[in-house]
Amino acid sequence: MKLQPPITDDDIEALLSGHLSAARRRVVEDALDAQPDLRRRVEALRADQDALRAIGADLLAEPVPDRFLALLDADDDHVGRSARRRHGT
Amino acid sequence: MDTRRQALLDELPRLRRYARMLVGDPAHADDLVQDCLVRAISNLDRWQLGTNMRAWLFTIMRNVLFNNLRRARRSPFLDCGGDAMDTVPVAADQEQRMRVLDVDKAFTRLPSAHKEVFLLIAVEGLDYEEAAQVLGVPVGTVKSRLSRARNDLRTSLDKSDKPQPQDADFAERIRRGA
Repeated sequence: MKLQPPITDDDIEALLSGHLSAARRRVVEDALDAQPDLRRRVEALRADQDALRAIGADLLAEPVPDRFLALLDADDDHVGRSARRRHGT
Repeated sequence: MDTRRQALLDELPRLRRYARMLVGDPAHADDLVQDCLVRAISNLDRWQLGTNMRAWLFTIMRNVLFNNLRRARRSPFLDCGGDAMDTVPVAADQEQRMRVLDVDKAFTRLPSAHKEVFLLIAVEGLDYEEAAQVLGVPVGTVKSRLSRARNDLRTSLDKSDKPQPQDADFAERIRRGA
């Protein structure tokens, strides 16, 4: 069996953040299968992360206030007037 | 609307949420978004196509906030007091809602530097390099702070799930006038 580097905090961190390479992920998943305590810990950390993501999720669905859209439009007028005329808008 | 402008528009909801998480108060948060937008629009040609617009905007927002705080001699970044939940609504069933409230409360108690890195990567989906750029710290620092933040949050939640003997100790010390 090929020797793999031991599982580190960085591995767990990258697993939770979704930044672990596919190859390393398999190694880490195998290690978690062999260590139920570590598996439970990782699942608890993942649940915390899910809860954190739920905070303010509603805010993402809110329509963007008009004043922000107006800022973008106003600037469009300022720098893009000639371009917009060309396009007939 | 050109590509850059569209990319900026697409990130507006995220930018508003990030501001809300940073400063708590909704009106203050939207003022921060406004300041950030003004600066972003006037520098839009400096944003490199193909790089992460979200990370670019967060960097600007952070600079704007720091400048505002410095000018107002206000308390440090993120230490707005109270729970983010006071102002941030949440959609969930009752059980999930209670969980989210607990996590929110524990999250609020983390050091600011740890909260920031947690938000940027675990919530806003930046990668380590992008977060390091936003925060102006090395990638290794980002990783260790995030790992620490996750573990501290869990420890805090483990404690709040159980009776807290330290409260009795505290009451005892008060009685003794210590």
